[in-house]
Amino acid sequence: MMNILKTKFLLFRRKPAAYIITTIIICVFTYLMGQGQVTKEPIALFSTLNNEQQSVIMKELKKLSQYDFTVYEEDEAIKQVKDGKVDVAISLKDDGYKLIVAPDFMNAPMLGNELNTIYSQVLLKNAIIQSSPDEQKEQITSKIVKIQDDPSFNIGYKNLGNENGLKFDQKLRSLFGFTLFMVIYTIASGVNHIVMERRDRIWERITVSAIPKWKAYLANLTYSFLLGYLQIALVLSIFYFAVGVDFYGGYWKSLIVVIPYVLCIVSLSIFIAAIANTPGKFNAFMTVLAVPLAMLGGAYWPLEIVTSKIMLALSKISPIKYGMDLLNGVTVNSSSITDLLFPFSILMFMTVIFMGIGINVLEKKEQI
Amino acid sequence: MEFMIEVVDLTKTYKKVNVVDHVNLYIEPGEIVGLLGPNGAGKSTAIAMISTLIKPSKGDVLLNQKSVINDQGSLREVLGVVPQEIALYSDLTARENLHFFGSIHKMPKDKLKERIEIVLQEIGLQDENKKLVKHYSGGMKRRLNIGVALLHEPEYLIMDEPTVGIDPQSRNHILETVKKLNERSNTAIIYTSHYMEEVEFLCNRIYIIDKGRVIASGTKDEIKSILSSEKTIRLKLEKPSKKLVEDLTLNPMLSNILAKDAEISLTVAKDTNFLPMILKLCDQHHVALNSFQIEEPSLEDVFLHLTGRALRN
Repeated sequence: MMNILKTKFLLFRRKPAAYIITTIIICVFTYLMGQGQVTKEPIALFSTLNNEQQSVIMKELKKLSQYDFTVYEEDEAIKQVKDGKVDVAISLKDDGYKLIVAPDFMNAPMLGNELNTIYSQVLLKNAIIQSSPDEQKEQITSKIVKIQDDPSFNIGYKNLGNENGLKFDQKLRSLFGFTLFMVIYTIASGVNHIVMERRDRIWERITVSAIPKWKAYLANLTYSFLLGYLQIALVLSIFYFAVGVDFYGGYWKSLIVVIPYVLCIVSLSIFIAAIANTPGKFNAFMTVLAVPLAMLGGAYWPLEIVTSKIMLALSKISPIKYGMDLLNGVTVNSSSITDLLFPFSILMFMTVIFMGIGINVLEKKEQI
Repeated sequence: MEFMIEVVDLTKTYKKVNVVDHVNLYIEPGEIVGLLGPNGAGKSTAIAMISTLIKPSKGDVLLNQKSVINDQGSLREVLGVVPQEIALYSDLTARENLHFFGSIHKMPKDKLKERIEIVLQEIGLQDENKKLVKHYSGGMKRRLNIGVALLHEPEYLIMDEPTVGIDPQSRNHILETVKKLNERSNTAIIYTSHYMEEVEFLCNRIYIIDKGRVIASGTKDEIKSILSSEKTIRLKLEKPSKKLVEDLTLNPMLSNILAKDAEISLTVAKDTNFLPMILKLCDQHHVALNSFQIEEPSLEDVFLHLTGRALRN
């Protein structure tokens, strides 16, 4: 078995271009998708605050990463809303704020909540400072800043509209989605060795050798698994260590939970190899299959925004969905092991079914 | 008599059609046996069953009188297979290919190293052994294809049309290699081909297969004796003449008439005085007879006689 595996890697060394190019494509597209799809909502600001108050409020507003604030004169800010260039303008005042909102802007309550929080914090801070003796004002100010930067405890809250408590991180989604999608092609290129060897009758030579057939399969499947797994590990590592994507502490876990997904795709490829008789057909089938699997599985967009019941039902047959569930589960969603067990079980079930049928059909075809 | 490999009533049925139909044959140690037949005769399917690659629908393959259908290991240990296709990794060198295929026969490292050198020399690729196979000529690939099957020194070698698609020079080299291999190492060889001259050159015994059935078998002389009462005449005409061929076909003295361009081959009974009749027909059709040749019947003639078709139709 090791001899077959060694030869596979020797062949890989002779032609590594496709693998390297695929890896680069994953990295480039993931980076672009991660960047490009973070669309910030532009918001026009005008204020009657003095410079010091305005800079304090602005500092807090800039922490709201989903919005892009620009300061205008009052007339200009209102014109921006009238012209439809922005959906909302905010008037900042001493005693509060005012929102000037376009009719189709649905996030006004959420933005209002954010502004309430900021104003209450700033006003509270000002009230504490104002009520303190003059000689202690400086000391109290620095103490408040320190407490705000390093609070004793945090209170987390969830959006009530998001019943499952799922969070959304576009960078991670792009990274996981595109990697799981593209790695299908890499794994398929490994499994295609079996199809090519059968066509070229190399498989017959291996069959009549001293190596048992199951070891020949195992060597080929191990090779395909390693190709796919190492590519995923490489891409995730590049984005974790070099690009600095936040894995929410789940980088190492993501390298583990991706294993059942890779196994499942190896199995799926074997199943397709059993249907396709030639390397050309195999590649065509895999190409045609990979795109809808990615679309249904939520590699391109989050399934949470899909409303079609048919699409959601079909997504359940895509291994990518369960791969994404596992990866999101150990990173952005911080899911429990019990939550991860379901996608893990489904992937393992698919692995067994596809592999069982695939190898049986391959063996039967050999007898024809 | 004890036969080392014996094939009994071997049958393979696909969609109710017997592509191999109750074939019986045997091969003794050290002999070269030919399976001669046209394309699609069932030779490769028979070979695949004998080499344990596919299971027969009926019948058995015996090694030392023990069935190998459910115990392939015993036969595989002593068997080498040269497939019709170039079953090699084109992105590896000859040496790397030999190393890989030797290693899957679990040969000890030192022995494998030694055998690789010997085989490279035997197939004449010692100077080209570091070239990638994809850069080899067709003949070189064919030679390596054979070499791979020789690495583990099999007692039996099955060669499925090993000279398909190569130039005459490479073909001669391969035939010589096979002959020497048999003489030197006493390896028994089953050689399938639709080239009559290859089988005639190499084989001690021959099985002629058509439509899945063995239609004749024996030594070359035994098979040719099927036409012992006849002789083969080859005529070379000045130009092709359809009408002359038609008239020849109608003549009851002549049989197995095969015309190709301006050449006609036919068989006549040994005592027949055929020449005046042929000259007369040529005269009638205004075709000059450039030459004629009387030959002993070949395997091709036997095949034509038995099936009414040429081997390489």
